[in-house]
Amino acid sequence: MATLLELRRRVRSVKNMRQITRAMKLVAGAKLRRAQDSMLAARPYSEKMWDVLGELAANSEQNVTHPLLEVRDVKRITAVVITSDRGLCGAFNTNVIRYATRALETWSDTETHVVAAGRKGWDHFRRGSIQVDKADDDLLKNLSYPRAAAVARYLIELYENKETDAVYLIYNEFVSALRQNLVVEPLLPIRELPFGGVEGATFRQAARAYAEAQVAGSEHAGFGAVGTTATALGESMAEAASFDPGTPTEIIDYIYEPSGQAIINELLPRFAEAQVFQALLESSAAEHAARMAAMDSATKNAEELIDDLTLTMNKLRQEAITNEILEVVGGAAALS
Amino acid sequence: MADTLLLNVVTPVGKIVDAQVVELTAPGLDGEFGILPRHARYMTALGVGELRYRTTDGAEETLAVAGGFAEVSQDQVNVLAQTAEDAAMIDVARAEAALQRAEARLAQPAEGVDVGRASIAVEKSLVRLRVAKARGIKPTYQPIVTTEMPIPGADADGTE
Repeated sequence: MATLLELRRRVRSVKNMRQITRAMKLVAGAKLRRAQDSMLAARPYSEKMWDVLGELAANSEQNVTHPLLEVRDVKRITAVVITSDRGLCGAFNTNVIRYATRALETWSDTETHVVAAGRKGWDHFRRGSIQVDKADDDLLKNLSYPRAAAVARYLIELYENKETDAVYLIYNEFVSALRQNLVVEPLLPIRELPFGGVEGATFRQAARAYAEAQVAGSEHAGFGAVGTTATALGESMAEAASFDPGTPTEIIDYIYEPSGQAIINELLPRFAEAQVFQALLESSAAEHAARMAAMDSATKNAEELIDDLTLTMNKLRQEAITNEILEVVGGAAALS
Repeated sequence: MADTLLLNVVTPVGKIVDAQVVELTAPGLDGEFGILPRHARYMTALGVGELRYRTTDGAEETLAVAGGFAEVSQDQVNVLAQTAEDAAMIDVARAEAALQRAEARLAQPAEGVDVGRASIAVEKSLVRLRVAKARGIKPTYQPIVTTEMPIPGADADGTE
């Protein structure tokens, strides 16, 4: 049985811990708000980007070509795993790493390669047998568009040099302050958008859902053939839009300056950059949300523990006092 | 509907402009261009320069933009810029410092210095400073005719 002094010490130490977790919760809350703001601020840009790309794909007369649109036989897959730099954020990192590991297992027929954004992912994957690259150390600490763009350019270069044949982003998507969603999102090649009036956002969701389904279920065993993925996806999207390829849809002539091809050349890398930036922002907001939730429950646990300990302590003290009184009474009784 | 354009300027850090405008000029990759309502569908890559527009109530605004695209369709102009800042957002001291740095790099091109990038940096800083300065001396009540603001270095007045 613990002594009174020991209990008092423990209560004090738990109180200190509660103070720390509470402070961390508040800090995470403030950071979350900021991360959420910049995430929302970046959204119109990526959305417009989808629109423009969609219209460009739908309206260009000649088939545009670009290295980033070229779908190859997949011999090598690059997975960009976005974790956090710091811990104490609940299952945030564990979840995304587990998810990524599952994805890598699905792709085990193919050579895989991981790009770790965030220290936690790097710490985990560098111990494994898969080749790992590390993103800039400062990437998450000072997240900015130029930094995200540098990562995207690195991936683009890999793809253009045929050092990889498919690039996926695996990260925690921010849903709400209480919920994160694990996603795997195809980044490269940029799937050619199906012609017709399919909304960019819808396409993106479909592309993502497809990739997710493949990681989740084993029924799509032939994951190696991402080329067929694109075709199947295009078909399903075309169906969804009830698009009949036989009849030409309304094609509105754009004036392109300098040329449609030049714009595509400029647009596609920007597009990949924006997608990477968005993913990093989402992950960062999700991280702060996860940390806030973790610290909130830690604070609650500390409070519970303090209550318990205080109760035991009071009981013990009461017991000691009772004993003392009994002793005094007993002693007085013995004297009389 | 047909007499105004909806101008949207978005960048990765946020939406900068969302306004009804009567005209605008923007720096295309091949020189400045102007857009009026009922413009044909148009898509272009943007260079570095000033994006000017006049809103429906006659106020003229200038933004410093660099890189990206502009898309014109159905009386709507979407500008997706890498950066876009109005006078209030520009940090003059920072732009001046950047200008000096870039000019120093150009004056003495050391090994590994990307001359193209440095000159773009010079251009960006100059545009920023110009936009910030123009704001400082601009009368707010007079209607301003766009063509009275000559742009050094760009000779096209950019009417389509």
